[in-house]
Amino acid sequence: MKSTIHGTTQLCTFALDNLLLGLDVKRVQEVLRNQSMTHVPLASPVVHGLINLRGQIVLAIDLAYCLGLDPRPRNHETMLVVIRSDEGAASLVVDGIRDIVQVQSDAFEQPPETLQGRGREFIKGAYKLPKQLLLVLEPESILDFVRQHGSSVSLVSEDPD
Amino acid sequence: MDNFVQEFLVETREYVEQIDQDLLALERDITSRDVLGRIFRNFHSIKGCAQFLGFPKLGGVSHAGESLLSKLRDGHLQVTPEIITGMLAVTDATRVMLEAIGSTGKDGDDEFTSLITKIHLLEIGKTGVMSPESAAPSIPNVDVPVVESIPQTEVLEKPDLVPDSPVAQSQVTPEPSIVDESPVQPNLKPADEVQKSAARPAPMMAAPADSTIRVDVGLLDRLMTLVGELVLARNQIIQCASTSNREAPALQNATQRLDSITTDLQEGMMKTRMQPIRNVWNSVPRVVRDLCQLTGKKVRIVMEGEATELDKTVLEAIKDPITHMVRNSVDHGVEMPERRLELGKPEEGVLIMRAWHEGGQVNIELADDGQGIDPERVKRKAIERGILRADQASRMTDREAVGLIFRPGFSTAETLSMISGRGVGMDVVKSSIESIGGSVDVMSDLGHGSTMKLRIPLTLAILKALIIVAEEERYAIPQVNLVEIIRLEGVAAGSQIELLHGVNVYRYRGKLLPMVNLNRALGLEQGATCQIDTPHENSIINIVVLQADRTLFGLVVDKIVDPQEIVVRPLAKALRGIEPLAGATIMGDGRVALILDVFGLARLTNVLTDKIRQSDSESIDDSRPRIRLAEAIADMEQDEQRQSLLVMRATDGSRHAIPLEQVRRIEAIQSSEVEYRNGFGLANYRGTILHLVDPVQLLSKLGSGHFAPTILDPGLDTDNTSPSIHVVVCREEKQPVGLVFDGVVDIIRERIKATGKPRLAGSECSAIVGGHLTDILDIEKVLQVADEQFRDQSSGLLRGANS
Repeated sequence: MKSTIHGTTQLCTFALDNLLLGLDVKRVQEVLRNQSMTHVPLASPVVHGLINLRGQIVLAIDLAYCLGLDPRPRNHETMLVVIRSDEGAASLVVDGIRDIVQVQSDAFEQPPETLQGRGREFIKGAYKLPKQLLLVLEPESILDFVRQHGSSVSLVSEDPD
Repeated sequence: MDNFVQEFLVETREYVEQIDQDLLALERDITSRDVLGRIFRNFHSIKGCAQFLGFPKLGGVSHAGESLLSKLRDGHLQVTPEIITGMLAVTDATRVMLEAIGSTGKDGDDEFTSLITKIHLLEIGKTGVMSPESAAPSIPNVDVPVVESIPQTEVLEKPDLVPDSPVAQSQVTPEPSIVDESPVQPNLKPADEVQKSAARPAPMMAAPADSTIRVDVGLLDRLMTLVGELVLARNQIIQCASTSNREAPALQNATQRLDSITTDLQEGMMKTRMQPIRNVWNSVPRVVRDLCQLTGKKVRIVMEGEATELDKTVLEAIKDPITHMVRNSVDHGVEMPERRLELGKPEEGVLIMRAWHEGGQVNIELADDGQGIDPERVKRKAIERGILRADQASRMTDREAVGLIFRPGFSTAETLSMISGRGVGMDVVKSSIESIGGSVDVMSDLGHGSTMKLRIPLTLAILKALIIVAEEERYAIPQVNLVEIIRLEGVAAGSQIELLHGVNVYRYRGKLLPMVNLNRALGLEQGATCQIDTPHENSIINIVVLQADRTLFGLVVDKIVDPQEIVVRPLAKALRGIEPLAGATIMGDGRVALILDVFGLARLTNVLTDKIRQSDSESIDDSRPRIRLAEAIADMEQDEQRQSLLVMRATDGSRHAIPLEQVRRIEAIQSSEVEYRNGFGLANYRGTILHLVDPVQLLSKLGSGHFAPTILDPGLDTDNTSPSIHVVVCREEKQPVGLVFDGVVDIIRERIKATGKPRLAGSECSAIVGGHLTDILDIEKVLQVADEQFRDQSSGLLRGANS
C-alpha cells in the first residue's frame, strides 16, 4: 500500500455525488454497469445487493452509505467497481466512472484531524488535483466494516468506536 | 473379497510405495529423522493391519522390518546401504504377499524365513549379511532367495526388464531363464525406476484395488463447482433456445444434447463424491472396544445399511457427532454386565446402527438397549445447572425432559468420566448436525434403552428447492423442509385463515398452523410478521407448509414458481449473520437468488423459540418406528399423550368429538352443491365423489338396530339457515367418506375421562368436554357401518333394478 503513497501511482477514479474518489488500479478488477441486482433482505443498508459476476456471486457495497451519504436506491442504475479482496471479489456502487489518473506522491496529504468517525477509516487521504481533491479510499477498512456490520439491520449511522 | 481386505490392499500398496521412496531418500540422507519416522509408521501400519486381518506371514515379515527400523530410530544402529537393501527386500516380499492376497485371499506359502533371519542379523549389527555389493541401491544377489520364493510372474518385475513400455512387458509369459540373470544388473537403473517397476502389480492381476485412484478432494470440489457452472450455463442456453427461432433445428438439437450430457455429467460428478457410511462407521467398533476395555462393559454392535451413500463433505461432518453419540451410548447407556444380569437382560449390551435413504435424505439411527435416559434425573441436572427453573421442570413431559440433553452446558454424568464429557456435548452434536441441514432427535425408554435419530441431507452442493417469489425477488426453499403447498382463492380464503389474538392461523388437517408472512418477515413490507392482509374477492393466498425441527408452520408467499435443482453457494461473510438466509444460488436467467434457511426463519418469526414448547402437539407423524425398541417407546408416549379432539356440533345440536388424528380434512361445502342419488348425499371432493354421512342419523339407527338407507337427510337442503355444511373427511382413499356436521366447535387437547355409557351405539364413550356432554365417535365403527349401508343400499338398488 505504501507504493500508492510514495512515488507515482495510478488511481482508478469514480464519482459519488460531487466527490471524486479513487482506488489503486491494482486493487480494481473491473468496472461493470447495469448488473441485475438481487436485494438481500434483513441486511444492513451497507449491502446494496448481490450480483452474478460470471458465475461468481459478488457482494455490492453501498459506498455512499459507507461515506455517510444517502444510500443509493435499489433500482438505481448501478455502476460497479469490482475490487479484489482476500475473500474473492466485492464491488462498490458508484455514480459514474472517471479516468485513470496518474498522481504524484507529493500531492498527497492525510486527512485533517477534524475528519472523524467512519469517514476517517475509509479515506486514506487526498491528492490535491488542480481543480478538485481526489479522495483515496482504503478498501480494506471498507471491507472489514461490511464484514462486521453487513448482517446487522440496526446499524447506527456513525460507528461509536 | 472382503471390503476390509480390499481397502487394506489399496492402502498397503500406497504404504509400500511410500516406504520405497523414503528408503531411497534415507539412503541419500541417512540423518533424516522425519523420513525414518515415516518409514517406521508405515511399516507399523502394515504390520498392524496384516495381523488384524489374519495374514501372519505378512505380519511376520513386516514385524522383522519394523524392529530393525526401531533400532535405527532409537539410534542403536546407523543407517547403512546394506540395511536399506535389506529393507527394500522386505518391501518386495510384502508386495509378493499382497499380490497373493489379491488373487487368493491368503498371504502365500512362503515364510520368508531366510529374509527374516537376515533382517535379524542386521538388527544385531552384523554386516555383510545382505551381499558383497551391498552398496548397490537395488536388490542385489543376496536377495536371490527372496526372488526365488516369488511366484514366477513376479520375476518379470525385476529391474533389468524395465523397458519403456511396461504394459507390453507385463504381458510377456514368464520364462524361468530370466531368473538367473535378472537380480543384479551391473548398470543399475536409477533407483526410482526400479522402484516404479517393482511397485507395478503382477501381470494379469486385474487387481480390484487398481481400478480405483485417489483424487485430491480439492480437485473434485473444483470440478463440482465447474459442473455447477455448466448446469447454469445450460439452463441459460435452454432458455435462449426456447425463445429463439424455432426454425433452427440444429440449435434445438444441440441444446437437447447439451442438456442430457450436462445432466449425466452432473450425476456422475455427484457420484464421485458419494461414499458409503461404512467409512465413518468403521471406526466405531474400535471405539466401542476401547470403551468396553476401559469400563468392563460388554457391547455387541449390529450395523444395517452400511452401504448407504452420502456426500463426502456430509460424511465428514457427521463423523465426530456419531462417534460422540456412540461413546454416550456405551458410557451412559449400557449398564455393567452384572447389573444387566440383575435386570434380567443379556450380559452383553447391543448397539444397533442403521442407515437408510428416505426422500432425498439419509436417516441414521443409533439405538442401545441400555438404561435409557431418566427424565427426572435430566430435569434435576438441568435445574442444578441453571438451564431450567423448577416450575418449568414440573410442567415438562418426559419427552421434553429427555430433549434437554441437547441444551448447551448440559451433562448427565454424575462425575466426569474418562470417556464422555470431554468437551463435546450433545449440544455440539446437535448444532453440527443442524449446520449441515440435518436434525437430531432422541427417544428414550427408561430401563430399556434409548435411540438417537439423525436426518441428514444427501449432499450439500446441489439442493432440491422450491422457488418462490416475495416482492418480485425469487427465493429458494430447500425441499427437505417442504411439507405441502396450499393455494387458497378468493373470499373463501378468509374463512380458512383465522385470527388468533393478532396472529393468523390456518386449519391444517384439523390442527392450527401458525402463519408467517414472508414479505414481512424479511422486512420487505411493513406489518406484523404473523399476519396477512384480509383476503378479498381476487386474492390468492399461497401457503407453503414448512417443517422446522418438528414444528410445522405456513409461509405465505407472493407466488410459487417451480421446484428446481440449485447449486448452493455460500454467502459472503458479511451476510452470514442473517439468520433466515442459508446461501445463494444463480438462477437460469443468470440472476442471483437467495436460499432461505427454514430454521432461521422459524426462529426469527418465533415459530421456534428456545423455550420448551409442546412440540408433540405440532409434530407431524414422521417417526415411523423402525425397531422394536422405538416401537415400545412410541407406544409409551401414546399412552401418556393427552388426546387431541375435534369437537363438532352435529345436525341435532349435540356435540361429537373425533380424535384429531383420524381427521383428514374439514371442508365447508355449500348445501346447494350436495347432490342426492338414491338417498345418498354426494359431493365433489378434489375430483372424486365424497359420500356424505350424517353420524347422528347413522348411529341412532344403528342403535335401534334399524338399517334405514337414509344416509343424509335431503331435508337439510331446504334448511336455509345453514347455507353450507361442514364435512369432516375421515378417509380419503378407497371411497372417501365425509361426516356431516352443523359446524366446528373447537379443537381441544385433553385427557378424556369417560363419564358414562355411550349415548349412541357408534361412539366410544361419552365425556364431559369443556363443560358439555360430548360423544366421542369411534370412527372405525362409523365408517364400517357406513360401508355396510352403502353396500346394502346399492345391492338393494340392484335387486330393485333386476326385479
